[in-house]
Amino acid sequence: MTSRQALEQAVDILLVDLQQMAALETSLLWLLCENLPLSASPARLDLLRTLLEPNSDLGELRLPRTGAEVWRAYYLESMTDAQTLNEGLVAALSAERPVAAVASTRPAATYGQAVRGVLDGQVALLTHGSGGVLLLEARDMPKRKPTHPVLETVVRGPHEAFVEDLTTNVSLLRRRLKDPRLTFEAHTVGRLTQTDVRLCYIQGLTNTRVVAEARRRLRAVSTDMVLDSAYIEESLMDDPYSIFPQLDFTERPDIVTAGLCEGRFAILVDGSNAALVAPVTFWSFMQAADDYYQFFYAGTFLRLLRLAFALIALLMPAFYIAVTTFHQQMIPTALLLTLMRAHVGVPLPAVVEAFIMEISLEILREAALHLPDKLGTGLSVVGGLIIGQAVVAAGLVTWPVVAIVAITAIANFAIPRWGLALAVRLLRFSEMVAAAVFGLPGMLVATAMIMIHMVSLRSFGLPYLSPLAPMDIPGLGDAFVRSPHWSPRPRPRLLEPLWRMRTRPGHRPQPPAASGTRGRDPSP
Amino acid sequence: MKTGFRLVAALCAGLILAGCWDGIVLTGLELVTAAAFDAAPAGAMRVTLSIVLPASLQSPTGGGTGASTNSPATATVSAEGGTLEEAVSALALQLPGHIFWGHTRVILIGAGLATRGIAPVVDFLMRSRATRLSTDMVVTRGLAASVLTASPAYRTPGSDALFDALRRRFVARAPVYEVAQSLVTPTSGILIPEVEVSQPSPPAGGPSGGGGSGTTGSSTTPTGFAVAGAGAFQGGRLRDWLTQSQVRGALWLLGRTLESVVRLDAPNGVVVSVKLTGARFNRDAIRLPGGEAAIQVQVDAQDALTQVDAGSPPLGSAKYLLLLSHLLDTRIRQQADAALSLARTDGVDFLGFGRLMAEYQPVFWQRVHTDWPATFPEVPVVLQVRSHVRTTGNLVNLP
Repeated sequence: MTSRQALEQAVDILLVDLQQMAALETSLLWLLCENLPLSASPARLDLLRTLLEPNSDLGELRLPRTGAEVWRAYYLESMTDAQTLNEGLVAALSAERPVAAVASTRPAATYGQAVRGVLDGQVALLTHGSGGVLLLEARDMPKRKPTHPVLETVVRGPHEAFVEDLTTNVSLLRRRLKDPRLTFEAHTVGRLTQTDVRLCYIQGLTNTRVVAEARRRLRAVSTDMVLDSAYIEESLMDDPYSIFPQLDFTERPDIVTAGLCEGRFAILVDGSNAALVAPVTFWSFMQAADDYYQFFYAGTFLRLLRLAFALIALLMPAFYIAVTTFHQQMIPTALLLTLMRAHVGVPLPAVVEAFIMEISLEILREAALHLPDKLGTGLSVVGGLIIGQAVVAAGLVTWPVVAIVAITAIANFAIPRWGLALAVRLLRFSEMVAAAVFGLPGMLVATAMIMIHMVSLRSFGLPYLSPLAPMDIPGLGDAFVRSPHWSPRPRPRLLEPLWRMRTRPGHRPQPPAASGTRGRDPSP
Repeated sequence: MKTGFRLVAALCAGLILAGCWDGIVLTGLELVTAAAFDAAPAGAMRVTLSIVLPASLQSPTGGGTGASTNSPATATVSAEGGTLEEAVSALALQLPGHIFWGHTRVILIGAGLATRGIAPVVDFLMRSRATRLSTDMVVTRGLAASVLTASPAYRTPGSDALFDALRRRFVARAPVYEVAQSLVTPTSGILIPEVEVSQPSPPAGGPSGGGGSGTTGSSTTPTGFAVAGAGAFQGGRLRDWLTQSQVRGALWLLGRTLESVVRLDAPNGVVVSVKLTGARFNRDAIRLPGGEAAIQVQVDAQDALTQVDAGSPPLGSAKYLLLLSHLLDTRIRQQADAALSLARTDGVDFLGFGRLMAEYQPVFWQRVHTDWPATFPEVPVVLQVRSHVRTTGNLVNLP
């Protein structure tokens, strides 16, 4: 190495060190000033600019007033509406009697509030001499309009979903629930992201202890960043190691509204297009919005069908493994002969076949999820038909296993909530292992363990399997069946809502009846 | 770290101790579809099994695709042993796979073994984990193995055809668990259906044997089989044979007849066929007015006239239908009396009257149960039959 090269290397190292020192200095400055009260001192006003300087899109306005008086405004060009800035601020403040024509204003008390306001898209206005900073609303952040839900589509009913903008989501709920008791409590979570979170509930209906517990857990969330509701969901669970979801996440405002009216609470997170609803039970995850938009017979039928699908999705491959490996006498003779025919020439035992197909399906599903829609559809076709045909023709797996895995996958898709569907997908593998090792007794033990865990699970204190365990017979009316909207329906008892009945008795519709001709046409 | 190691060790131990090696791949099963048990000389036993041929399962395309619609071909293997278990062990040496009894549909007992006693066979079947206790047992007058080697023209595997024949409702069925039940109560008997092998008819001969199983052929190999009467067993030993008519009579008394066709010869040369469509039974042990214990069987049969063979009966008349019902009552009584007479002569309670006495007349039963075979023929039987011809079909009379 020449002396020149050595010198260049030393300079590079020195530069890196200097940059690190500068970064450290900025960080230290922020820590010192975050809670420092604003003052009229010119030196301190410059401090605001110093704190905002790392942002390359920082804009500064100087608004000359009478004499030497100059007002200054700081904002971020990328987040501020230019029209509001020009017409509502520059033009309005240049007048003799300045009145800012903006949506809202609020004073900032500390440097931290002022800087955060600017980073949130507001304009920080420094009025000369007063030492105060006014935060003026002039945000223009990119946001999309409410569109169709992606995961929770319905045949009949509203086709509107939450978006990533918190204000829009709040308005979607407000539009559906015009009650003055509807409360949105503001919280901020995430040390770096400073994400706005709203705890939403109906005062006087949602049990105050549940709300207090939700508030406590929200305040206890300790994390650097919250990019989605999923980031805080795990911190809000009763049992963080449970595989079952303990808060329902939904992208449908109507489901959140229904939850609020049942006495639950919801959590909206800025930047997330899904709301969290709690407390929930296992049955909440088996209900789809469609249930309540269809006639109650259809709703009940679909609900029961979904329960059957959930069982199929959980147990079917395991049952196949158990009976073909250990309990062949349970299979009808004709079916056994068909299975034996299928297995001729296939070197692998049923359990290995089932695992190969299940893992292949998981890979396929994961790959399709991360591809653009058009490519994903193509991949599904290729995976489902061609690969399925190929592995059978190659003698790696048998047709019955392909059929079993396909039915299982379709049954899994029928589970309306993604969180539960995912849990069932994972638990299916444990059932398969238990069936492969112990046969049907193993399956029974594994299922019993799952049941024991579910019985002991709570969601904000609400037993996960209620109203089945503990038994609440009136509550069963909305767990297994979908009772008519006019029927007297109580809110879930264990939620301890402050008023119980949703529909008062005596509202069953019936035709108008003249005296003595009940139910008949009164015309002569 | 230590906990994780313990968990992994427990999991491995679980996998080892669980006996996952007990699992059998499907293609490693030697599927027994029917088993025949015969007596061999010097108290030995011969076991013949009808096994599904693995080669017949191979689909044309290979690689485990699809399923053929034809039934698979079967082969018979046979071995002898001092005991049944020895014979089965000898069979296992002849076969590459695991002998699997879980799908055995018929157990055949040869007459020799039936006379010697079927208790060892029932014991073997009851102790096996895989055996279905609803498997039907049948008895043959000759060698049971000959039924398995018979090749009826209408079905490939013999056991399938036999099983279907047994399922026909007029046949007395004897599942393994019922035979076992009769063994543990020595005073009660049981009827086990009889299967007879059809021998080939001469080329210019007349119609072949009944039951739809008869075929013609030139060799001496049995060409089929038919469900004939039944064997009456008591204490696990064959005591007598019943004809088909006696079996029907016994079934009326057992409360099991579900479907049969009866030819009735009515006045004025009218001949009609009446089909039993359903029946209700009530079996009881009662005290007669004199204080004597008796068996009471009430039969309430529902019938349908299915064919007018000769004459022109006035089927629109309720009185005439009542007449047909009375004729039917008489026929049922005749069949039942024939069976009862045989049971009394042999002193074999295959009609289950002992169980009725034990249930409804326990005091009387306590007194006579040790000498029931001798008492049973003296016990009066009250048979009440009521038949109803409910329908006569869509046609009243041919012009």
